[in-house]
Amino acid sequence: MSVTVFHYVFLGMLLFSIGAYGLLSSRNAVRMLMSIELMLNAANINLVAFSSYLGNLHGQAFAAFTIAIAAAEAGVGLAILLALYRNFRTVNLREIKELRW
Amino acid sequence: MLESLLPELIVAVFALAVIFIDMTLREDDREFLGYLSLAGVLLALAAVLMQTKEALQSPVLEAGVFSGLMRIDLFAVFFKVVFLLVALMVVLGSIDATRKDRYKGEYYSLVLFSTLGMMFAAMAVDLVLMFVAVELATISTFALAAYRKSRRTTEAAMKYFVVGAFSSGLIVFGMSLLYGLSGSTNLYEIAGAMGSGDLYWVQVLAMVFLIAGFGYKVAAVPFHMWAPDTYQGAPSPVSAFLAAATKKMAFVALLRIFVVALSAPALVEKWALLFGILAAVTMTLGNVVALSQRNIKRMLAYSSIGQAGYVLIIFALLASGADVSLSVGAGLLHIFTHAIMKGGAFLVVAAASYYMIGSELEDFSNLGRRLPLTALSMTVFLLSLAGIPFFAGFVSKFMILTATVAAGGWYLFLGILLVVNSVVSLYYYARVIRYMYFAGGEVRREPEPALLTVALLLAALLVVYIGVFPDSFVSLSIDAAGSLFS
Repeated sequence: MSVTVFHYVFLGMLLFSIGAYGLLSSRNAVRMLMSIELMLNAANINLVAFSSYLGNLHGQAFAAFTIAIAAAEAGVGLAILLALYRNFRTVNLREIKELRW
Repeated sequence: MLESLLPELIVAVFALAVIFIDMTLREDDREFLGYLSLAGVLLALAAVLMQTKEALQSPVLEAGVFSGLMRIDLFAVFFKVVFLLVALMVVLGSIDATRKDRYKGEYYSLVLFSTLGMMFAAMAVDLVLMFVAVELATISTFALAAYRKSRRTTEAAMKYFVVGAFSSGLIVFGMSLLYGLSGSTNLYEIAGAMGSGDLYWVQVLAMVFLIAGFGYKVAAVPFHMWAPDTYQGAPSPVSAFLAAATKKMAFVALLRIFVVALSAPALVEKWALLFGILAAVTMTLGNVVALSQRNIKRMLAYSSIGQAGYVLIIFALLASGADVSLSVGAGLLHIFTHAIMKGGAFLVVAAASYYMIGSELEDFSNLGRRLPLTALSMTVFLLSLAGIPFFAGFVSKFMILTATVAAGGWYLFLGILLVVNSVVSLYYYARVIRYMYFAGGEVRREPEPALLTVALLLAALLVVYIGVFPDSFVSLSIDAAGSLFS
């Protein structure tokens, strides 16, 4: 059995589901950041797989932009995380409730 | 080609200039950066207004800038005016509101970069550019929300960041599926490839991902829980920017993607129904929960959710076969009027906090005598948000109502719900006005912050002007909606 585009998309969907589950089930901000990275990279796998299947480069270019944006997002996210930790001495969002949920 | 991007170039140059000049200034001189940003926004606004004048003659100025990445039409120009007007209000208000804060250079350049992202999002007809532009606008606002680094703002920013990043993940995954299905990232080429074939369910899946992703960004109801916390915790000028500009950008992207790329009839009937349900739930829940809020920023956040529900109605109408320009135009006008009045209302809270007045309802007691001009403009914004005649909010709500009546059938139900919700909302808006004017007790009048008051009065004037002379604005928004299709 050869590897087709469907296998890649299946992998992408699996990875996305793991990321989404991790984000929704954990309240640890670091783990949430990691889950977000998984979700964005799942989309990258899709994009690159489609790009090679369709034989045009749009998808690869898109993936390059997504990687750059994921890096920017992680940078800002970690900066907010640090500021949060300095204020509350914890990164567990369950213990942080200044504002009413 | 470059001259058609003049407004964007101006904003980009000023955003960079603000950062670099910031390094050469002493701490006390940095107020200058606010005036510099103000000049940038005004110049860009002038350039966009010139584009508007041209676009009124021929709605599509340029169909494919940079080999089909962007399209400069009346629709894009309309939104650029909205974003720049909001940026103008926010920058003007921030000069007073951030007087005691440090890091002014970062603040103003982030506001300008975010505006730049929104302006590109308004023109984007390519998935890649649209994603990059939307992210430029949102990532800048993540940092803005955490601007004061206090306990509250960092908590608000963290919640905003987690939800914003999650929605980006949903959006980019949906976009990757669209690309795989059509082999292109251009919205018009995607439109040709959709609506048929054996992979129909994957198309529906992509559509659901995009609705959920942008649903978070516009704070539609199952995806809304971040908005009240973020708007309450963030500094008030930033809340104004988030509610009045960032949210509107998500509507631009939704309109471009759904009305252009997913316009195949087999898909429209699916998403129109979904949007209809979202609209009904969003406006009802937003307005009902707002009734019990004692904090004004939180109340405004819930009212923002309700108002987003009104705009979502027009997506449902697109399956009805009624005049598309009228439906979409109604949505555009409401986005415009809501941006002005909600941005203004949050700036009022910023003006109040300038005198250490909190944002609880009781804190606003006697604001009418303490800060008369601020309270007057707040009254205008609140009455307009409630949809009282002769204010802008009435005109745009009435237009949405007209569109639902024109569509007929079960769409009338959405129109009735809109009216019921407006009546409900009048209660919590009027309550603020009662506190401001009829609370009793002795207060003395204080000198109001000049620039902030100018921003508020200009916004209030615009709200009244649109309310009294709506004709040109109504026809402008219908033309702008029409240019989306031509």
